[in-house]
Amino acid sequence: MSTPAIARPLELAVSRAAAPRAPVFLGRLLRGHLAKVGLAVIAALVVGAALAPSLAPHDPVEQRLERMLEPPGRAHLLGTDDLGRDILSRLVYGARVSLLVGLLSVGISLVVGVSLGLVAGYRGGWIDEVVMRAMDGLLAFPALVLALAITAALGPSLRNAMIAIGIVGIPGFARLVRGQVLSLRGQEFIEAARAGGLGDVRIVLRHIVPGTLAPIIVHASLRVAFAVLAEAGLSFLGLGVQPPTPSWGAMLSAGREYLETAPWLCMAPGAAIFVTTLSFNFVGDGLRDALDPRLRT
Amino acid sequence: MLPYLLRRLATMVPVLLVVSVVVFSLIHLTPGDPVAIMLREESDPATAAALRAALGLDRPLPVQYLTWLGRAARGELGRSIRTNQPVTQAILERLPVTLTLAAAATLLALAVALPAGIVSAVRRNSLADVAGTVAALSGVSLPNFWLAILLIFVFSVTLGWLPPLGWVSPVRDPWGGLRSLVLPAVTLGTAMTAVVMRMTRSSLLEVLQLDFVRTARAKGLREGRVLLRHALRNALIPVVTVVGLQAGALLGGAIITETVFALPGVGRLLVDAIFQRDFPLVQGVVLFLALNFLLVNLVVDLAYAVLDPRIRYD
Repeated sequence: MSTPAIARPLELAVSRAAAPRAPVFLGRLLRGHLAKVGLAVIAALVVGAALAPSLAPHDPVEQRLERMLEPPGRAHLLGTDDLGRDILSRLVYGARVSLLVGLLSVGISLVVGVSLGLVAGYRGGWIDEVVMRAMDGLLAFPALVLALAITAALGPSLRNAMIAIGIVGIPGFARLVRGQVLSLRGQEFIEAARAGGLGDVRIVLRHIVPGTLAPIIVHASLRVAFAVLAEAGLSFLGLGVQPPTPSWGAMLSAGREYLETAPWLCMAPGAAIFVTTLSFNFVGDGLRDALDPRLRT
Repeated sequence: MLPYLLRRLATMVPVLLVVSVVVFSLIHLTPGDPVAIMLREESDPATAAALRAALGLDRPLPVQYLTWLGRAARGELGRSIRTNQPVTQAILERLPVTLTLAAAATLLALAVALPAGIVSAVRRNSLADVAGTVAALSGVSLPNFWLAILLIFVFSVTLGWLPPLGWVSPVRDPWGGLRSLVLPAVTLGTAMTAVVMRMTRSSLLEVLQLDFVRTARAKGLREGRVLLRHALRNALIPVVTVVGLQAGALLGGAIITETVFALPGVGRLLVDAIFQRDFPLVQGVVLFLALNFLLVNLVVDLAYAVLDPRIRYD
C-alpha cells in the first residue's frame, strides 16, 4: 500500500498552496484593516439577528396608527413608519431576512454549482459539454433579469427569492470549480491516487475538493454581498419578501412615498443594506488577499 | 476576422438554445395553471379556453416549444395579453429610453473611472489610492435604489435643482432631457464606475511592471508618454472586457433605475408585465435582454482586435 505514502506529501503540498492552515490564514485575514471592520460588522449583524426578540424595543409588525410617521426620538430611536411601526425593531428583524437569504441562496448556488463543476471538470467529454453549455446559457442572462424572471414565474415570496438568487449564482461556482479541477486533474498525485486503486468519488472528495476550497471561499463571500443586494432589490420591487414581514428592501420602497415629509423612513434601511453589503465585500477582498496573495492588486 | 466571427456565432447557437428553453419554461414554472394565474379570479371557462388556445398551451409541450421558437426566430414574440399590442412593438417603443440611459451611464462611468484608476495605480498605496479603493468598494456595495432615493432627496426635494421623476426626450427638448437624465445616469453608472476603476488600477499596475515599460523608460521617454502611449493601451484590454461584462449589470440596474425614476424604458416594461402577470410580455422582454447581453459580449470580443494588434482571429 504505497500509494498513500506517495500521494500524501504531494496532496498536502497542493492543499497548503491553495488554502493555508486556519490560524495562518486567519492571521493574514485580520491583518487587513478593512476585512477586520467587515468581520466586526457581520458578527454584530449575526448577533443582532439571533437576539432580535430581545434587542428589538417593539413588536416589528404591531401597527399603532396614532403614532404614524413619528420622527426619531426617545420613544422610537429611528422613528415610526406610515403604519406607526417602530423602524428600529423592523430593522433588527430585517437583518434576519437579509442574512437568511444571503446565506441560504449562496448555499444553493454553492452546493449545486460546485457539484456540477466537479462532475464536468473531472469527467470531461460530453458531460462537460452539456453542463458547461447549460451554464453558458444561464450566464447569458443579466443576473437581476434572471432572478426577476424566475421570481415572476414562481410567484413573489421569501422562499422563491432565495431560489431565484440561488439559481443565478450556480454558473459562477460551476465555472470556477471546473477550471480548478481541470488544472488539478492531470497532476501526478491524482495519477498516483488512481494507480493506487482509489475510486473516482474518493479522489474527488479527498484530493480535488481541498485544492478548490480557497477560490470557492472567496467567491462565496463575495456572492453573499450580491445576494443581500439582490434580495433587497427584489423586495424593493415588491417581488421578494411580502408584508408584513420586515425586509430592508421593502421598507425602503414603502419609505420613498414619504421622502418629502418623512425622509428618515428611507435612511436606516438603505444604510443597513449598504453597510451589510460593504462588509461582505471587505471580507471577500480580505479573504482573497489571505488565501491567494497572487490575486492581490 | 470573418472566419472568427462565424466560429464565434456558431458557439452562440447552443447558448441561444439554452436561453430559449429557459425563457420558454418560465410560463410552465408557475405553480398551477398559468392561464388561471394570468387571468386571476376574473376568468370564466370560455375566456380561459380562448387564452389557452391563443397561447398554444393546449398542445403537447414539444410542439409548443418548437412553435414558439420558430416564431421567436422570426422576431414574433406574441402579443401582450393585457393590451394586445405585439410584444416586439412594445419593446421597440421603449428601447430608446433604455439605450439613452445606458449610454449616458456608461459615458459617465468611463469619464470618472479611467482617470481615477490611473491615479490610483500611479500613486499606489497613497492616500488617494486608499480613498479610491474604499470609494470603489462603496460604489459596488451601494444599492442603486437607495442611491436613487438619496439623489432625489438631495437634488430634487431639498435643493430643487433637478426633476425627481419622469422622462423628457432629449431629441425634443435637449435641456429638459439632460436634466431628466442626470440623476438616473448617476444612479445607474455608479457601480460600473467602481468596477471599471478597480480594473483599470489593477491592470495598469500589472502592465507597469512589464519589460517593455522598463525599456520605454530606459529609452528616456517622459513618464506621461510611457504611461499613456505604452502602458495604458495594453492595460485597457481587460478593462474593455469588464465594461462588456458590466452591460449585464447595466441592464439589470436599468430595471430598478427606470422603476424608481418612472422612466418608460424596457426595464420598467418588464416589471409592469410581471405585476400584470402578462407572461408573453415577460418572456419577450427577458429574451430580448438576454440576446442583447450576448450581442454586447460578441462586440467586446471583436473590439479586442482593434485595441491589441497582437490578437489575431485566424
